[in-house]
Amino acid sequence: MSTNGRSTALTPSEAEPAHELHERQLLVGRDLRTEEMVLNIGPQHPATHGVLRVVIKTDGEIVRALQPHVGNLHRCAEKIGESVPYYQWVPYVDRMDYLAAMCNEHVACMAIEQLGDIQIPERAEYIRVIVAEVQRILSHLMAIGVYGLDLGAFTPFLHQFRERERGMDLLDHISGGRLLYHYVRIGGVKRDLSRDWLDELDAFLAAVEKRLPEYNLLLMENRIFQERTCGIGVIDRDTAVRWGVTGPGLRAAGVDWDLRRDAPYSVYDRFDFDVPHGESGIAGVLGDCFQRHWIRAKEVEQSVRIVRQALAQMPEGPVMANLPKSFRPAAGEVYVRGENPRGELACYFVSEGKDTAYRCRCRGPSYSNIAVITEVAEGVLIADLVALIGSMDIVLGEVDR
Amino acid sequence: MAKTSPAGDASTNEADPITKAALDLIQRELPDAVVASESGGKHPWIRVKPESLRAVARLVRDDEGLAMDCCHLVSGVDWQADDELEAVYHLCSYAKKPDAEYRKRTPKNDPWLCIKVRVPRGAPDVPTVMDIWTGADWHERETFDLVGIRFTGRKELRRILLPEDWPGHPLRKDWVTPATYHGVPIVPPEGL
Amino acid sequence: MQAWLDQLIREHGWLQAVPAGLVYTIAIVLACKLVLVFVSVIAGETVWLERRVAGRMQARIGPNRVGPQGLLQFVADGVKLLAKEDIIPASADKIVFLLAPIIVFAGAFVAFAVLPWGFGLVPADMNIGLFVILSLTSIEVVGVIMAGWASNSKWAVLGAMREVAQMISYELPLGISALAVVILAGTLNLTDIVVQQEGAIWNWYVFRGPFAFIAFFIFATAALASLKRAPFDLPEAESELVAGFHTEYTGFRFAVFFLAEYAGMILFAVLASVLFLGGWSPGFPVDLTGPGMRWVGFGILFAKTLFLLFVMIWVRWSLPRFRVDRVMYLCYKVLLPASVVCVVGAALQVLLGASMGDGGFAAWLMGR
Repeated sequence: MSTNGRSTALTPSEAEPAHELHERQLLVGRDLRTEEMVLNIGPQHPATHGVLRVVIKTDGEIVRALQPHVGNLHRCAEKIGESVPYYQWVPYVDRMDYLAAMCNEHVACMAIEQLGDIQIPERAEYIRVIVAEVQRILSHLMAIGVYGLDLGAFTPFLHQFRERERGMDLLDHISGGRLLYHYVRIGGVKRDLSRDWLDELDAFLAAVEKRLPEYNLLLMENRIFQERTCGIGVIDRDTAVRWGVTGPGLRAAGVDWDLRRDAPYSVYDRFDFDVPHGESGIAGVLGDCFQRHWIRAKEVEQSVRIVRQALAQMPEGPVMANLPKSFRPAAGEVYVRGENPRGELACYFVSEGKDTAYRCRCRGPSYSNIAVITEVAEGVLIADLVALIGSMDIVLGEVDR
Repeated sequence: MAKTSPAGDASTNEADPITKAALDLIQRELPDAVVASESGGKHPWIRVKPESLRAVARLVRDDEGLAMDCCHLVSGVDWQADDELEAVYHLCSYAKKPDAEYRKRTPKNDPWLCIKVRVPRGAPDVPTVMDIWTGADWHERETFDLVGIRFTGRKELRRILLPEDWPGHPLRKDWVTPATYHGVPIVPPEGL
Repeated sequence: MQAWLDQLIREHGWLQAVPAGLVYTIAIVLACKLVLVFVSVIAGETVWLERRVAGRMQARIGPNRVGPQGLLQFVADGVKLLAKEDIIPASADKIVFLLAPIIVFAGAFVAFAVLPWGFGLVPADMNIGLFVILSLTSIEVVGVIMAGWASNSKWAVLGAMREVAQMISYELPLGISALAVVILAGTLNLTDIVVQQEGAIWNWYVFRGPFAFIAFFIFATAALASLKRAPFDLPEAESELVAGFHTEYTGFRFAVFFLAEYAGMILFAVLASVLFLGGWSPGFPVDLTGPGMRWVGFGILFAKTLFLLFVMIWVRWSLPRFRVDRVMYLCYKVLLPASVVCVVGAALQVLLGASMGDGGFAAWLMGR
């Protein structure tokens, strides 16, 4: 039985770049024969953030060529989008980037609402922003903790679960789900916030603000962590933009771009927040793993700021628009993108006037974020490879959809 | 009861300045390239001939006014009624920021540019743009994998999400789920 | 021990009917079993300590169900591992595969025969005790290579290579920093080294001069690296190589590797206490050589060992792990030169007569 077309050998195009041959000949001349090993990382592996399979050709500890194989988590979300009505398809986007489900739902619902020219109540917009930013905090905390785990620091990983538990309880109380919510729906949000929930939210924000310096102390201010991440896996501006890297990867490269500020959607233009981006003042080199990690830590602080402003400005009112029973948007198309914790999630819908989409295409930011390592990973050590993949913070759910 | 609109003000049907600028540029430099276009509304687009795609891509990327330095997404759409496949490119710029009034002026509040290319179903060959925007590489592979548009001029075009030996292109409208795959029966859920 | 056995034979007349060789053999076997059981139990409890301390550091409780406070957890783990399927990879080199854990285990456990747990509480009081310990722990390296090679898996081989490089390299600063103490003490016999540290706390070698002080930290770091403990745990880096050289081992064979690691931890903790922290001496003058008092000494040594184990565990769960080239850099460019400086310094100290205890170094400094 064939191995479904997957083999460990690299395809011919990745095989022998010319400069490598020259180097081997040099070494052979000195009677030192180095042997290149083809190694398979994954798909079951503790450090690949999901079912990612990476085939690497290594010369000892140095990676010479790298080929990611994705598609192990492909669940045909786009095909399903052509068969089920729009409102039934929205929960499928939760499962793409399952660590940022509220943000996914936000973008997808925005796209469908734009398609159908639906106006949603202002209170719903604010609630969407609040839950999206809470979700961003949770996602970044996870990214920070898991990155420490990848590098061998076991403890911050468990500490961040403590804050995540509070946050997940928060989202659980409002939506019924801890990880996958189906809360943000077409036309608004499912349920209004209660007074108790707002108090719980305040407590959560206070806890996050209190603990974040601890994580920074354990990780970013640790000498070993800095050795492992500073100057490693540098993705410079040109590479990042060319490959379509978005999110912290793009900002770490020095591009001062955040959709929430520069092309604001929902009610983000009413808030005042900073966009941390890579600069030479902080440790490390522009575009390296450390700066990507640093940006995520800083973004948590900014998200707390946004949530507090949103709480202050939020008006009273309904939280769900009146929708017809059968939602049939007019024929047309939309392309909407939003700033997810991992980058820019985009939805492209084509409608023919029916209650299911004609074409439903999603762009997961991790798709481009993981593609870039084919170029960046050449010449790094295997241990640095893990640091590099971890710093891109990918979720295979949105790579494979 | 205050309401917000999901994207800008739909009451103005002004043309999207970015699409208009791109259209002017292409029609100036490559007069025959544009097949059709739509500059207003929620989703303005420019359709070009497949053979002009690369030149158009270079043009919008290198122009200082547009500076579309990132290929955000490449999608494939199967227009079964027209017997054509369409490759849709959404491009964006990280070098240029839109001014504050951009959002208020157009229904589309996001400064992306959409280029489309249509090819017949029988010969779905579209020239690649992966040497112009490296990120298009994986998007093109996915479009080939799921919709079956062949991108020419590439060193190789392999499937990315599905196994290498998967039969057919599932997101085509005439695709039928096979009964088995390597001897394992496939039972699709109702309606799919 | 032979003298003690002869006395035992003289006291109990019926033993004289048995050939002496047989008595000796049985006695040796019993003594080995005793050491084995003792060390296994302590290694098991060290696992418990690690899991509880790690739990508290990670804002959770560790295992606390099996037995009082979870102290019998290692028994449950052992039973579980015994009951697991023993998988040997089909393409593995069978004999080498089976021998590797035994060699690693032997290397870790045999060294305990030379450790002095109290005055006279040493199974084999050898004049070259320290040398024997350092040699026996080097045998583990062979076992590691065997394990990695025999598993016939690229990941295991890679892990074994890293491990071997690390262990062999760090034996240098380990041995040389211990040498600093040997020079100050003038003997390799561990019991004598401890006896020389009796009295006030200033007699402890760690306080007898800056060179021994620095040597202590070098010894501690090199021991951590030699044991493959974080932050030097690349060979077992889960995130990178699954489990390194013991990826392919299941069930009780894995338990053997596991026990060997914790036995090594205890070994080096006791060794560090014996060499630098005064062994069974409590820091004030007290005679612990009597047959009853030596058990008090055992308790004191045990407390010091526990403290050092706690520090090892603390360091493991706080720090990220080093990259392989940084580990080598640390060894060859930082620890090795530093340990050589310590040895030279210690030799100078002895030459200048400044190695005396009872605050002798302080006295020398002040010119008395």
